[in-house]
Amino acid sequence: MRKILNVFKKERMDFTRDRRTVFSSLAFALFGPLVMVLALNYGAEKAADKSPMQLAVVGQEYAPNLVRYLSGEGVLVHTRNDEGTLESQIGDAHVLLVIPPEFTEKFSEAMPATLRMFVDRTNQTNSSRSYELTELIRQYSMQVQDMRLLANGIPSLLITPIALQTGNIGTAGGMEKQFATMMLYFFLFAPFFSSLGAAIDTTAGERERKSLQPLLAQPVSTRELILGKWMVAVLFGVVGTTISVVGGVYAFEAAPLDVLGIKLNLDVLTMLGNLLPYALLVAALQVLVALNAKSYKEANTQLQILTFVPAMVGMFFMISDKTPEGLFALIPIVGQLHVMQESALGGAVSLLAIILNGLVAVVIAMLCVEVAARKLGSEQMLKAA
Amino acid sequence: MIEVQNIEKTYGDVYAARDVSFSARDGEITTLLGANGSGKTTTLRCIAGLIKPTKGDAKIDGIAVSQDPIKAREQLGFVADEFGLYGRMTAREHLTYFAGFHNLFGSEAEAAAEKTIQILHMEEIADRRTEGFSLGERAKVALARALVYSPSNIILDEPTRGLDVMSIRLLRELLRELRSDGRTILFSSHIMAEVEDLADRVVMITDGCVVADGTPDELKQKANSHNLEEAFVTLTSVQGRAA
Repeated sequence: MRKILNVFKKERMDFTRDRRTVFSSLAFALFGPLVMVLALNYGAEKAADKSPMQLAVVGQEYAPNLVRYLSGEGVLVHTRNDEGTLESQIGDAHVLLVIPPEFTEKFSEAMPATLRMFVDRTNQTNSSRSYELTELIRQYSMQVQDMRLLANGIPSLLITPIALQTGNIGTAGGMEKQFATMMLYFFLFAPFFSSLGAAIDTTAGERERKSLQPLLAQPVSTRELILGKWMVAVLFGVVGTTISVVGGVYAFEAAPLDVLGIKLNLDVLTMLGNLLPYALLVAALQVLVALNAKSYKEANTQLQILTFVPAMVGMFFMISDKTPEGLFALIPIVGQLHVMQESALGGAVSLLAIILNGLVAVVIAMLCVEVAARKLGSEQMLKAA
Repeated sequence: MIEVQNIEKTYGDVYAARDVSFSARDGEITTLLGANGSGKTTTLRCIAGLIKPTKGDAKIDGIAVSQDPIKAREQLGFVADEFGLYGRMTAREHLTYFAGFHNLFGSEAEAAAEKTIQILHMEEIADRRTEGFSLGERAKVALARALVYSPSNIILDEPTRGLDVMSIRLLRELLRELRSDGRTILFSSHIMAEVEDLADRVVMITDGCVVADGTPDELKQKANSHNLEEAFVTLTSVQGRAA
């Protein structure tokens, strides 16, 4: 045990002296919650944005009634003349409406009168504002249509055989689930990013520095060496994950979620109880994978590929509505994500599920450590060392 | 005392060592002399238990490496062909870390490190990080790391490679001191002058086989030549013809 601690202490000291790598290891955990707060605030601001639509109009004189109608609906109309580019005409407004000179004539002859709307679709605000304008113009068009039909003695009801009324019953919950998956996903990434640097430095780093030969010539088993190295990766994984979870939960609480219509129930202890055994597993996997690499760079590439695993699992659950059941729910990542989702959406948290998930993670972690120890003892290791 | 018995090591069809047997005795400097690729490093790695021989075995102070590699390594200091230092750690930290593998912790490890630093006259570099050390300084740290736990056997794989004249002289003096301490010293080399100057016993190895084993004078006599270089050429080419 003292030899394991000897390796642990050395690796911890050695790794923490590489300030840049330590910082980049924990950057995800430190800045993740910050980015989350900013994103949530931005979203809330957008949702709460009830300012009037700014509409630039060219040829206002050809459709004064329409413009009056729009003003009446709360649209702020800015008159523009027919000069310059579309960009200059739109200016600060959300949308540009161009009324051509022939509009008046066609309109009075009850022929379809063309209007042109221009909008920058890459701007989300402007884009959604253009849909509001489309709806307003459609309503105006309906009013005119009703009047024209009436003038010709046809009741407008006659041309409306079906009146479909729709109601959205699933959106709120579904959106919460999607939102929760996205955010919890972030927690699943935390151990990957936090222990990556330490896992590489203690394994592939050792090979790259060519310090493996003198080390392996010491009276110490490769299991003790790997355990000491793994413990450093675990330390960073656990610290990073804890910062992420505590910071993330605080970010949720600080964010104006009510404006977004999202209610999430995040409990630090449930999250950590669920994630910390998983951090042990992630660190062990990373140590095992990085041990195969001969250089820091090679290990970094391989571990980045490994990081795609939770990304893919998360994506799968975001896209599909499948609820993991039985043994399937015990698969690492699947299980963790499921427990966190249940908890966040206010469902009952099964302590048994957390314990079982934790056990599975720890057992697999130990297997990875054992395989890594054997790998370290193989002659292959000395080839480039 | 290091005993090597009929070590053979193959990688597929390739022989890295065919038949290597010799003994390195206490209080003697034994040299493994051979050309590049003759099987010196393979033999040393087998003794340190870093690789498993296909046949044969090595014993360190009577403990078979194949039976109990960890126990066998307790009395072995190994200086590899690559010094492999940790750039962010000081020389002293290297020593306390390696002392830890020999159950020297805390003040005991500190004391062992301090003693080694004094023996190797490395006070000036002891508390500097090894990043940016010269080759000679790196060699010193690698050697100190193998000596800090006072092993009775020391193996060095081409330790003078890349060192300047002053560092080589220092190393020679140190090896002589260790010899007078009664330790077993085994080092590999292909530099005749160095071997002739230092070795009590020379084991000539070529093509993975030991072709001659004796004191430098015995070998010269056997080859009927005036210097070790000629003796080496004669003795290894006899083996070459025989093969």
